[in-house]
Amino acid sequence: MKKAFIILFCIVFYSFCLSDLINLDIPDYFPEMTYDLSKNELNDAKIQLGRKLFYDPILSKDNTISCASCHTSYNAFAHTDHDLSHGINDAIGLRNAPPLFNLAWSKSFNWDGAINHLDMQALAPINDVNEMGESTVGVINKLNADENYRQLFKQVWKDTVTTEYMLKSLSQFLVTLVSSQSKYDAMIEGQLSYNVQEQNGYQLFKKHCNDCHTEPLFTTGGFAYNGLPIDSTLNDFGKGAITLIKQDSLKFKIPSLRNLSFTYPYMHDGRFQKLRQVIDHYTAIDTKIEALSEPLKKQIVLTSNEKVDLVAFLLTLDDHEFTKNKNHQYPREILNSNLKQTN
Amino acid sequence: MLKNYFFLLFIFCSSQHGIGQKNIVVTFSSSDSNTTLLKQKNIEITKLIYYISNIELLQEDNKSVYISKQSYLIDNAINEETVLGLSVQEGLSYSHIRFQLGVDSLTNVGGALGGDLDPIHGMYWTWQNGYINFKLEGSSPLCPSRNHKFTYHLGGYQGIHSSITVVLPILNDDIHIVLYLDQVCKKINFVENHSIMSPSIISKMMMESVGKSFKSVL
Repeated sequence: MKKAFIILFCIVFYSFCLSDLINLDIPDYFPEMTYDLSKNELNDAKIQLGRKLFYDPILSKDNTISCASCHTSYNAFAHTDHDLSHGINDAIGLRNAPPLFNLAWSKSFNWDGAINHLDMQALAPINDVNEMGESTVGVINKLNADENYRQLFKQVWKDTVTTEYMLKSLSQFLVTLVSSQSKYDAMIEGQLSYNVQEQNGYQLFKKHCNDCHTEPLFTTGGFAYNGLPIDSTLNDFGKGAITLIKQDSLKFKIPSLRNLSFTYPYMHDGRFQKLRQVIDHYTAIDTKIEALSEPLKKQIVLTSNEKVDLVAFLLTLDDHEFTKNKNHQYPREILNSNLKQTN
Repeated sequence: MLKNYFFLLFIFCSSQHGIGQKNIVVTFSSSDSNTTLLKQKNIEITKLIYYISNIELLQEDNKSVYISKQSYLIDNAINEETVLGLSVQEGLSYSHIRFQLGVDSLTNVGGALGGDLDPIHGMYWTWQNGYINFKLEGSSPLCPSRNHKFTYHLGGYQGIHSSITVVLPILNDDIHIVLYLDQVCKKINFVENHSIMSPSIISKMMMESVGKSFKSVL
């Protein structure tokens, strides 16, 4: 009898938790999240509102550019095949649009770390003249003038449209973009094993790359100068321009190596089209450059075959489940129901 | 059960705001009335907005008591005033008020916030996160810029910390603090620095001179 009560209690308790629990598919071997969910508790309605905002060009000045314009779900939310991204009026930005995944583990955002919190990230493209060219006030006014959004914010946040709620909704959607179902992840979980080539590539990776592109997120989240000569047409000094500290000059955020098949071209300015070019760069760095980040001061030597093996390993970090995930795509069902409501 | 909670909540609330608390009014205003420097030099101020945070009262024995840990947006065009209605425990004697001019670094990295800290007020940098602690805009014939305009947006919470602490004597039960703009403007080199819109050493120095231009008045 006692047992039955305990079981009943557990079932009730579990279903109570389940009703609001959002399954993010986070593997055990991932570190603890940086994003503090206790300050913005996940809730499906909020996630869906964030998803709608992500896909809505209303965030841009002339209602033509949405977040998804430069971050497409099919490409791990990168802007594939664009070295630099374009915003309203075909204005060209300064940097390569990074892919969006595992953002809840990120300590800072943008290639230069100028953004200190996931919540605040969206304000950068919204206000940048080369991206969405809007203003924070402009967006909030537009959303408040929209009957649909007014209703949605009222339902979801019990309030009018405010910057805080807009940003927190977007964060909720962005936090759900977890990429953890690559071949690498299956290998770590013991579901399958690497072939000889991939295994060899993995060993090379651990020897030469893991210091900065640390497993399992494949980035430390830190910043490094990797010896790339400055592009004089952009004159981008990265983190140094933000902190004004000399040692930060030319440092850029270490990107994750997950989903590389979708995120070309590579580097902060998209200067390399192929992974092979990236690897060739790292093996050809002049290690005497003083400002070079420490781990790169030891020359990386790879044979031609080893480079092929390394690429074979890197491709095991592609997450096709992630790029195909319907929950991340254009919210057709939400927009359709909105249309019905407005009619 | 639920009723009990409400009862406890009621007790808790009444103990917070009921007996033992005394209202205290802190007023912030700006002025150039001490001198006619602004008029003499044809300096026109069109915008003066800043944050005041973490207001404390200092007791004789060097102890301090917070009367607010919030940040307040003070929008003071000339001769306007902002009144903050706060409260403090009764029976304490205090001689000075201490506050932060600007937003503290923890708040700066705390994610999306509402109210006075909503980025919609134009006091937030979106290209490089962080609150603008102090904003002064206007014109001076000395500025070689377009329409002789000057723009000072002072901020920064990492590398260069621009928020500063101000301590002033308390002269009256109700505290009135005035920012003397003539004092602020006297120290500005309008010819060389007419636009400051990112954290820098000059921005930090200007912030310090702004901090020294607050005075308590009766």
